[in-house]
Amino acid sequence: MDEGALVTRALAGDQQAFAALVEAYQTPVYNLSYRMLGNAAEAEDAAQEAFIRAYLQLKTYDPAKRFSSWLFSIAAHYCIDQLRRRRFSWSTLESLTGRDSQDHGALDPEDRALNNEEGRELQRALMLLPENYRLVLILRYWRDLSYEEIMAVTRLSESALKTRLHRAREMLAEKMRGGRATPAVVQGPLLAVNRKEEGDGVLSEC
Amino acid sequence: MSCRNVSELMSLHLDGLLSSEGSAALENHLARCSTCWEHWQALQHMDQRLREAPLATPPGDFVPEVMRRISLYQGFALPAVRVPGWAILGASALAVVSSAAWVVFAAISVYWQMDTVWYLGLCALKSAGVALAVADALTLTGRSLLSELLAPTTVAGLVSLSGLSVLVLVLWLRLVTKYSAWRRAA
Repeated sequence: MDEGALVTRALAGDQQAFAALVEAYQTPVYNLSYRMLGNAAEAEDAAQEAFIRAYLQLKTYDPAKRFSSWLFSIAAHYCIDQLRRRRFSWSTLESLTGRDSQDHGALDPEDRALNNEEGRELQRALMLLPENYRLVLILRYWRDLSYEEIMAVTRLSESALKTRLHRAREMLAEKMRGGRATPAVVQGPLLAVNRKEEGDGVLSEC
Repeated sequence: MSCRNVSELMSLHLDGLLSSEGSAALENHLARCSTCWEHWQALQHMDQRLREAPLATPPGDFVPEVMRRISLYQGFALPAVRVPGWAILGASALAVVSSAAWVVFAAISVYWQMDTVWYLGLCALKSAGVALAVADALTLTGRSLLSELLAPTTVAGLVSLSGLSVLVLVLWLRLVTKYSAWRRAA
């Protein structure tokens, strides 16, 4: 059964239809929450909350648009709200205690997606990005969303999205370069470039 | 082409959105600029790592847990949200009629009585509630409780105030249930 029919049935009060939508989207919504919040317990709560909000706001869903974009938008907004609250509570706590914690995005070592050092490093680097930049990377990579779909979720214009993705990549590469995971050589470069040796007489434009 | 522009082309290229002209310009620049070449290597590495990163999967009981919370919400919300339309209409009508009665009575008292201030004051005082009417009946005038409660000033005041109270209560309940009931599911 297609999404539109499931949404129609859910609107008519059929909880099984909504359960089918939860079943279909539980992994991407949970992953989005997890990658945004960096913590399994908070991610589970945020993902549940996103589905509950979607259920309660189902009447506002426009069937002409993708259900997934609408759902991800709800989840993303909720996660960003949670991060802002977390930041506020941490800054309040620090101002009271006089301590400056560097561990705001503490990672849970038991998390399933962080079962190796590489995974932990990647998530740690991701958590160092501002939330709006982290969001576009998550949507681009873990959902493989097109620019149009990311624009629908984030309500960014195309040029703003291009700039944000570009800057997010720059930031993440920089954070990862700061770690020890960056190898000296990348296997199978995506762009075939016959790089001339340095000092071959071609002036660098940099 | 400057390095800044090339950096933007790299991002587009990673998304497969670079035209053949753009790709050629990028290749041309990378072949000559060692700084950008190293940066491109780092970006490709990051891109590869992100593409290979696994999806975090929710716990096995995720779907039933969401549906349990939704059913909890419904169990709480339905009785509170459903304020019948006739009750709202009735409360509104009562409020309007009793307020109008209060105003008419006050106007009549102003026109016919010299001690207008006393009458209006009495209306206001009695509209504050039955307790004040009882106290008034027992201590101030010595009139019987029944005649005090049935006095025009008391009736007008009480009907007006209770009508307004019902209206405000109904509106408040609707407001609260509409905008914050979802929190009960948590």
